[in-house]
Amino acid sequence: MHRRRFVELALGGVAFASIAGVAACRSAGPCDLPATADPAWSGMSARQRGRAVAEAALGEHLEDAVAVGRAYLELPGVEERLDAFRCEHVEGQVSLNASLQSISSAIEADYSDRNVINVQGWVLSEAELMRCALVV
Amino acid sequence: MIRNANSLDNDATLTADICIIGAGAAGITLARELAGTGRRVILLEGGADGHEGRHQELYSGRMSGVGTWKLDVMRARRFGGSTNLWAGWCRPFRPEDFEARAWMPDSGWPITYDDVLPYYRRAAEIIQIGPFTWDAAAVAEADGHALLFPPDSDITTEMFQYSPPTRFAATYRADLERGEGLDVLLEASVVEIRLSEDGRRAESVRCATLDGVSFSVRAERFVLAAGGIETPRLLLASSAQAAEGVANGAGQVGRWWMEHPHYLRVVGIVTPRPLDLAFYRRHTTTLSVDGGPDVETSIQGVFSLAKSVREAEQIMDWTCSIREYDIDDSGLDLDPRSVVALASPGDDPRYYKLTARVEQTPNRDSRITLMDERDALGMPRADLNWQIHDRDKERMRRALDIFGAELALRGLGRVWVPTEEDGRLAWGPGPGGHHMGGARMGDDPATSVVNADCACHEVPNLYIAGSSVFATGASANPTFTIVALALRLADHLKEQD
Repeated sequence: MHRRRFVELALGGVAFASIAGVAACRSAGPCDLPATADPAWSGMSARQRGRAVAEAALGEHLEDAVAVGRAYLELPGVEERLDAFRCEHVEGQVSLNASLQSISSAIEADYSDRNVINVQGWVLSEAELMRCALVV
Repeated sequence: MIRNANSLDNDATLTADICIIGAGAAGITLARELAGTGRRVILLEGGADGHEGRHQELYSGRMSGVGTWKLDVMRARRFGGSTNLWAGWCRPFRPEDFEARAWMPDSGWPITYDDVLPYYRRAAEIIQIGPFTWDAAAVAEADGHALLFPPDSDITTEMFQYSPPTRFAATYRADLERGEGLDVLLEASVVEIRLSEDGRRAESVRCATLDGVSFSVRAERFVLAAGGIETPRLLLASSAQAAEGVANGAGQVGRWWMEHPHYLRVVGIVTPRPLDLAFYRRHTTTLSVDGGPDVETSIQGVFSLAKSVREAEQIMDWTCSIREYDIDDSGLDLDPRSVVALASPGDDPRYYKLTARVEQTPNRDSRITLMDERDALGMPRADLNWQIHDRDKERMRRALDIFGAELALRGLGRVWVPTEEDGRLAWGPGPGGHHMGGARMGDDPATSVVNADCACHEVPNLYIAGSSVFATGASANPTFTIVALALRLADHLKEQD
């Protein structure tokens, strides 16, 4: 399932059109944890869950990756998309592993669709960049 | 017969059926084809048998646009022309490279791939490569090499064959010496094309040597094969009878000049394992086609974009070669931390040198004009104003992004490329030494200089051979196509009375 649609403007620059996932998440109301959530996972604050995901995915390189995430957040219109991403792939997941798997699928879908952005020299999917931004 | 023009009487007038101006890949190919056909052919070469600084200096000029190598560096004014310099990379244009692409303004040739195909097959022999076969996947499989990406990927693998490289003067000297009806004159610089009174016919060329000999050549037909800068220069400089120059009533001579903008950078790739690049290094293989004999030849795999991706992304032709790079020996100012930032456990940062080239969008304002300054023969020097559309720079960036996406998708790693402080791709387009356009081929005399037969619209007995006629340049090195088109022109000339 491809949640993002990447629109490349004809003469350069990038923009991102509406994200199906955003609409879906908003229509469901607040980003509540599913009732079946892992207690350890549900006991964390939203920020802690984001950090747990980033740490698990990026390990010892977290600090450098955060710098990439920070640069990503400087792009226009990113905040709203990051909220939607957090909602769908972190808050809406039942466990750390489920969140990691959900993000992994989003990353693969992005690469399959060539939905990549160059940030600080890195050619990365937006989902991957958002993962870096979870702890900013 | 090969002789030096200084041996001619001053003010001599020579006559021929066909006069070819320029003894490089195109000119020598034409001369060999036309020798022994009952025609008197004169081949004029401005340079000497070997390199001489005083001849090479005649190529000096100015760059007023995007920087390339200096005008007297990436070409050779000597017998054999720039085949004395070339590296031997050969790949034919693809069928779509000749086609008009709706999203690529001013693209499209008046001829098709099929028109050129038989000549590519013959040209392969002339430039001493293997059989005309370009199925990289099949060759890799036969060689036991793996492709980095599956054949149905966004990034495909294509291959170049290497010419030795063929030095045309040395390789074909005997043919030119013995060619029946062929007279090769060295140190014979053409300084003016003279027209009939009505301006519709080339009647003679005025020639000079640096040692003071002047002479003329009268012919029924002329072929200007002087290279991507000298061809428009000579047309523009022949202004005694037409102020705008020869064949330039529509103001198209010198315009639409092209290069292959190159990206040559070391990039970082965080990979779980070293990339298997065996097929992408130059190596020897054996090729055969249609049950023909096995021929040993040198090839190299390169990356390209799948046709569907080029169309979807509106990227013209793009190819990229890759090799491992030792960052410790590079002396480059790369911050290794940037490349480990997203490493997964077990992944390592490695460095690779990418050489990518993108096809230019035709650009009317990219052009050769003349300077006020003159050379030792009194010819105005060339001013090269190479211009690249912003979209071409953007397309190079996008192609690199797609390359990075494909690596990631296949689990081969994440790419990091050097960027400027503002985040833009760090890239000043580099040249390839591939001079194309300036006398482009087309059906419309308002936007082109020569027709599908390479004859000037305005001066039908004046033909142009070489990459000057390219309407678009694909991303393949031009020599192979230059020779193929020269063979095609030779066939056309043979059909004339």
